[in-house]
Amino acid sequence: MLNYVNYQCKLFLLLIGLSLCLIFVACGGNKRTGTDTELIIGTRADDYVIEPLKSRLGMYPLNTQICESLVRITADYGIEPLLATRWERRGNTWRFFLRPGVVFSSGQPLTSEAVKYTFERMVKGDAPGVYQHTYIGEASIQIIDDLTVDITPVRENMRLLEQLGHSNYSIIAPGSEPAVEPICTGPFKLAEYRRGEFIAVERNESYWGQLPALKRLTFRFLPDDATRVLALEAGEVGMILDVPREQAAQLREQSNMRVVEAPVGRVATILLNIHGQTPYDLLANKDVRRALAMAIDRRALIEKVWEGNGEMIATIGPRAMLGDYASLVKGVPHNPQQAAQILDRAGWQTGSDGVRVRDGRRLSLTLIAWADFDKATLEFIQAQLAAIGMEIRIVKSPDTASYQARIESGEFDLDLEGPNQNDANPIFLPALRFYSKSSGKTVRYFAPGNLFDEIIEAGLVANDRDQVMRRSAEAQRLLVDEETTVVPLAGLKRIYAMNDKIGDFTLHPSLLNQRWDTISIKR
Amino acid sequence: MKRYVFIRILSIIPLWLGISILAFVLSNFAPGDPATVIAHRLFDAPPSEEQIAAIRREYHLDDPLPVRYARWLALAVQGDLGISFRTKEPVLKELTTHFPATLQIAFLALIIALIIALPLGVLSAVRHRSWLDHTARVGALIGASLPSYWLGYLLILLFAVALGWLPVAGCESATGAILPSITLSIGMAATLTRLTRSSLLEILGEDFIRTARAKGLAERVVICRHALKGALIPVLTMTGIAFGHLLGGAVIVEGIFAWQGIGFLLVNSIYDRDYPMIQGFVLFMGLIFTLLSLVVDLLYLWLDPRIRFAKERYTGL
Repeated sequence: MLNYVNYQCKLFLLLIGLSLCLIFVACGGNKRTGTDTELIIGTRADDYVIEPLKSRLGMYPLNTQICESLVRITADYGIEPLLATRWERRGNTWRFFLRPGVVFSSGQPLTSEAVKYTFERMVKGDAPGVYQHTYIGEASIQIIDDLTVDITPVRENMRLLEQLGHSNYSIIAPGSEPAVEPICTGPFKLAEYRRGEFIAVERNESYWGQLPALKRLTFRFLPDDATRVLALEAGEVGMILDVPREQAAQLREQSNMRVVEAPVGRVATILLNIHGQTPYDLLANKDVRRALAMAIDRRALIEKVWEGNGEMIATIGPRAMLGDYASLVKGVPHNPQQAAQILDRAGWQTGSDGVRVRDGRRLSLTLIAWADFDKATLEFIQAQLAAIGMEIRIVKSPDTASYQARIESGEFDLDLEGPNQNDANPIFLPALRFYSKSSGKTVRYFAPGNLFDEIIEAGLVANDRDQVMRRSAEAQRLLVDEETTVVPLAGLKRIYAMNDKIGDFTLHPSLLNQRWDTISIKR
Repeated sequence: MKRYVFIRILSIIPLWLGISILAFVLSNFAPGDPATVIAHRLFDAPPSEEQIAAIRREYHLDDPLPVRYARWLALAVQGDLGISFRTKEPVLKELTTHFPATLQIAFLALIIALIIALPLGVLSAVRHRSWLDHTARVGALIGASLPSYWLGYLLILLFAVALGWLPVAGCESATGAILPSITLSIGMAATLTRLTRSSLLEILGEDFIRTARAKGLAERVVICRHALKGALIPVLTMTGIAFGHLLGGAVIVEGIFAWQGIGFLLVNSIYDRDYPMIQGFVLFMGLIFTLLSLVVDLLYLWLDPRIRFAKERYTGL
């Protein structure tokens, strides 16, 4: 009997021993902690593509500054020299003069050959022939000399310079493949990448510009928003990106934390399906669109739902993109009484359940949204529109693929989006989403027509950036003020949180253009 | 006996075939086009029809569904589950890379759950209707009701943020497995505690237990040698099922703790409509479940001679 009991005790101890062993059989490596020359940053899920010809590891969608483009986009969406010191345009040909003395992290010098290699690889990796948006084709790159290169898009593209600041167009060393290792000229170079876990970069000691203060940066992929915040509070990371709005206030209360907001880099906008098939055709009526735009109290949305983390805006992109012309777009004022009057005049009578009806048809609309908009935002819009007799059916897609399937099917009336402005092309967003000749698959639901197309076309071929800004502003005025096919809700600010030892962090409205090389850590 | 095992193994084949059809059909009928998702990941703007068409051709998504299924199945029986749309790596390699991480926390959770549940369940049954029994029952009820995501955050707050003993997330640290394992184990421990208690209570009322006591055996021997062995059979079944669920269903916990396991892989694959990975996962987990079920069945035979004799009669041996 005693033996049997002893056997059970041994089994019990064995289980405990086994569990202890399992604890220490971890995925490998020791816990990393930041020092005064090393910073660990908690970021969202790893979404790098690791595929030959297509990989942009370290560049997109998280730019770790391993690589650099020919030009840089400033915080006010201007253009400044980076790998190209100057440029000139002759017709549709852009000539870039490369910075002398720049070397790749492998020791190779930067020459025109690298520019040719980079863009030709990009064209090979895309749909055959032409790289989307820039119209760079297989024969577009001409080497003039070691440090001079011409780029001639296959179609006229006056916006090329403003597009090339995007990190997708980062220059890589000839013969290199970022899917294996990105070899570039940036202030950092790749130290280690573990898919789904982290990407670590270290200072590139042969960098041509000012060396970063930090020796090493580790971006840890922590997809769960709350976990990212907890990791910061526990001191496991020194900084986190994309702090959830509802947790920003809690972090602000902690004395050893700093919460900062970048300038507006994206705008939450409701796009109205004006070419939908029955039953998604109610917004073909301008009165309904106008009433809808007037009914939403955007200030209340920012203050009550988003806890102040937003900015009133009338344009569909950051105001900085339009310069002084941004004031051309006035926006539709909040006026629910007038909205109700418009609907009354248009023959929409309030039914017994509070929903308006005309000719036996209910004023019922379907709202879809990007996955990153929370339920509270959608319900706020629903409640605001219900107040003027519009019934809103929210269709919350569980993921991006379902959302894309829904929007492409045209089975919606309202589409809530928040696109990022990541390049310096002022006409990019209006052209992409509303220009009838745009390559986008869903433009057919939103394109307002010929007048808008003419403005966009004038903007696309304009030589002068000022002219492009004006055209873009005119196009947005048509969308927002005149036709009301878009309702800009608010400018969205990216929120960062960090411990109070981190300094010299200069905010950029676009995460893709956020600089990490300026950051320092106080001792 | 051998014949029973042989038949049992043979029966797995049609089961896998059914699983493979289900996996293929369900993943392909989910809303969303993988070519569009891939194109969106590659470019920072909505892709053109041309780009999407090129991707569709590259991944053979234009082929009819039966053709794709036949091609996939033909390769799958040779151990080739295809190439992931998302990572461009062989699916089997991805599964075998991520599986050990899940196995690690699932096994640790199982051990923790057993360490908690067995003694607590036994004590609860032996001290029936005592304060210990009531406490264990209330504890089990709470444990079974706690949502794993809430418990996970609570554990992080306590052990990582407040006390600083354990890491918040990730598998870089040697102790990173503790919190996800505890999170996973609590619900399982609660279920097993209740099951052990009720099963043991039922056995303790049997005639053979009364006989054992009448023979003058010590209570410890009655419990450990006679009652527990019979009471463990439903516990074993539940442990097998729960372990299978832990292996395939640690999705939320892996997400919270950024644990690079198979659940994490599955979620990303579903988001990206990575058909080969989803199909491979379902088939792989089907294999694990059927094998676990086989092991549990074989353990029955070992634990309970009545079942062994019944099987032998049934299979004609």
